[in-house]
Amino acid sequence: MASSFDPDGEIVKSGVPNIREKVGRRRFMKGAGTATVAASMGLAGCSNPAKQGGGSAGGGEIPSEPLRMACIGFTSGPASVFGTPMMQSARMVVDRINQEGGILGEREIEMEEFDENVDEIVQQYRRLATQEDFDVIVGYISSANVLSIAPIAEELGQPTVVWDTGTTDLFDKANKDPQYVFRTCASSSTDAIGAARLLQTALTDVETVAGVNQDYAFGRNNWDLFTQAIESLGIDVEIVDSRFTPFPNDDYSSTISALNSTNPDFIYSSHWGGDAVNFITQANSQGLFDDTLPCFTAGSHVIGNIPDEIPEGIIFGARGPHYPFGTQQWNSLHEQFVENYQSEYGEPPYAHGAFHAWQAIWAYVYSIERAYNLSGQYPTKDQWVKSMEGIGFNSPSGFVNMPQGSHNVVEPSFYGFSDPQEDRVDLRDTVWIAPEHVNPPPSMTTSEWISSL
Amino acid sequence: MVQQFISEQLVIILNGLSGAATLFLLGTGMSLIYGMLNFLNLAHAAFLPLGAYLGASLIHATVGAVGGTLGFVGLFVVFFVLLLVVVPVTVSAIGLAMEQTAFKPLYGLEDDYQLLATFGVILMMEDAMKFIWGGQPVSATAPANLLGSFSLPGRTYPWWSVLTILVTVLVAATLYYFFEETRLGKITLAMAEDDEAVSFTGIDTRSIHLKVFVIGIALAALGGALYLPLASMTTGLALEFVILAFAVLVIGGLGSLKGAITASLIIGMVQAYGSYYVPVLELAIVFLLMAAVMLVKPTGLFGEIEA
Repeated sequence: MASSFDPDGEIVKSGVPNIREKVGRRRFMKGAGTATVAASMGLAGCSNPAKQGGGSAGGGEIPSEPLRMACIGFTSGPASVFGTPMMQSARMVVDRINQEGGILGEREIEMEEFDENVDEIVQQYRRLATQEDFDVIVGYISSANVLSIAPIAEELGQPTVVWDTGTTDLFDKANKDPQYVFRTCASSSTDAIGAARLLQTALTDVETVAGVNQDYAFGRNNWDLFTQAIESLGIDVEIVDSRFTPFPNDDYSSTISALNSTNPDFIYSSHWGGDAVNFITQANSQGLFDDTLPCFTAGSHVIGNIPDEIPEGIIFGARGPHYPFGTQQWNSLHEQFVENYQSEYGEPPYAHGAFHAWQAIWAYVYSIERAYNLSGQYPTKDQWVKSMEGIGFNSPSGFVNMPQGSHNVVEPSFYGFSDPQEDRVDLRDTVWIAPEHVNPPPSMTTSEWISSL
Repeated sequence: MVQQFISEQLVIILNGLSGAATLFLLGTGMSLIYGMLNFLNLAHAAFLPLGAYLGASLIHATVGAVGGTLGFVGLFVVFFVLLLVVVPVTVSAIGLAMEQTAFKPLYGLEDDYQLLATFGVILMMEDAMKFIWGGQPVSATAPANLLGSFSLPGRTYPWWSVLTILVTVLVAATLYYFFEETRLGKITLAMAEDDEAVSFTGIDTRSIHLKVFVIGIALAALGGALYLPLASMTTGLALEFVILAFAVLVIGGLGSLKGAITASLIIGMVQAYGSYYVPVLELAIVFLLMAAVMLVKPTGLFGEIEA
């Protein structure tokens, strides 16, 4: 019997997550006993890497001037739906660290915010790295943007923490031998392979599948990975339509009409931000979800924006196990984070970017503190690189792990069904899929790994 | 099968017409204002989201205050009055104030200076809207939900889109009557041809300018109010709409009502059919259309003023 494990490695419940009721209504489920792919994460006890080596070393001089951190995200335009909560979270995390004295209790972080919504993203990056001399650049939501700056980061030797962007092309193609660039969230692999495994194991009555994704690096990458996984895993479904919509976009009427015509059982969509809001609103009014089960792989954050528009039973993912409500309240960090965010900004952190901002900033701080405690010296940037490699720590979303040999964090895949409550929308019957089932090992590219499944 | 095909075509046509309705309401004002005042006002496009944002606030306030107590008819009448009357009137008052302060000094300038200045105004209006309504999407689907949808084979379609088309047809007909049949309309058209000559006859052209300006803004706000219940407003929409408004202007021809109607219909239908059958061209299709028209007729389909 399969078991579900939460990202801390704790058994949540034995057996199959209870999704029978919903999929049964939609005639998708082939009886009981269908297994989820969740498995133990085998986590080492490494809750606070900053403490590693603590007491045995340290004592070296800590720079007295504040650490300069540039944070980049969409704070204008339709994508600010996502970027604004993310930046708010970053601000809150940095404030909390500074209230405790800063990094190592002594070095304050001076955070400056930059809008990602600029035409000259590479020039902006070069300016921040060279003229403005930031110690670390943390940022990027758009996959297209990070593909542009990653090679420049290596060229300039600029410590860069990619906090949210998803494309697997980042380390598979654009930056194959990363040194100064790290990604502290999971890649699109988590969503796409997770959704394919959901079809394979839980939604086995699905016969026809369509895709609707945004027409840029993230959407294309998502659809490629998903279709590759369908083929490689031998899932018996027919792809009846694949559509790519302009990014950003506000009129989906024709796309929805076309999807209504092919009438797929299941829709895979990596839409996010204002685009997802518009797509869902308009799809509701054209009855697209009446007999089709949509799966928004990275769209759960829009639940906070349009709770009234979210019908019961839509599948939402959050690019990892990031969601403030439902059955996710499983560790004290999560509880604290949601509570702090809510009291600071008057709303819960629906956007998974808010959780990703936490991970990015703490990954950097922990890696500095770990290096200091191990060597007794405040790390140079090359020592920081060594300290970041293989880092793992507890976060509001469970254990965050960067496998040795990789510059990319892996996270579990996470899906749940929308469950409207009186005052909010929860996710119920959540399904966890352990990182090793949805992410390639460090020795392989995502595509190579999918082919080997 | 045939029934399915017919319903498919009907939906595409309705999509095209409702897209055309928004474009017409947006583009007509911009086109008339350029035609009459020789004022290329890119900021015109920002009045559409302004109307939508304002509409959303009014809808939320109404729903919060009276909820379902008014019943279907009562609530619908309130929504209708808010979106079709209160929003256009309020936004055009804001537009009038901006005309007196921000736009009037720009009238005598070359087109490129007007473009830059009014683009700056768009950015300021975007920021102002973000300041007031925040960066999160704002939606108010209550009016569309109230009306519901009708069934076609294999699909449903929202009544609100049909209502949008009907209201726009009524507006277009009224405008057509105004320009073709009334004295003031004929003077307005004459002014678009030769402003100076009309002023020699002793007519107060400034007052007519203002009227056309206010009508244009009210139409854009109405476009936003009708657009709102089936979409959501986010920052950045004004910049998307400015491209579409510009497309109406270029394809239809400057200052022509017939041009605005025709261009809106062409763009709406080409977008609807294009994104349905050739989705890969969805983004490029309007630009291809603009390029094609400019190659064949640089002044636009109905434009007589040299672009």
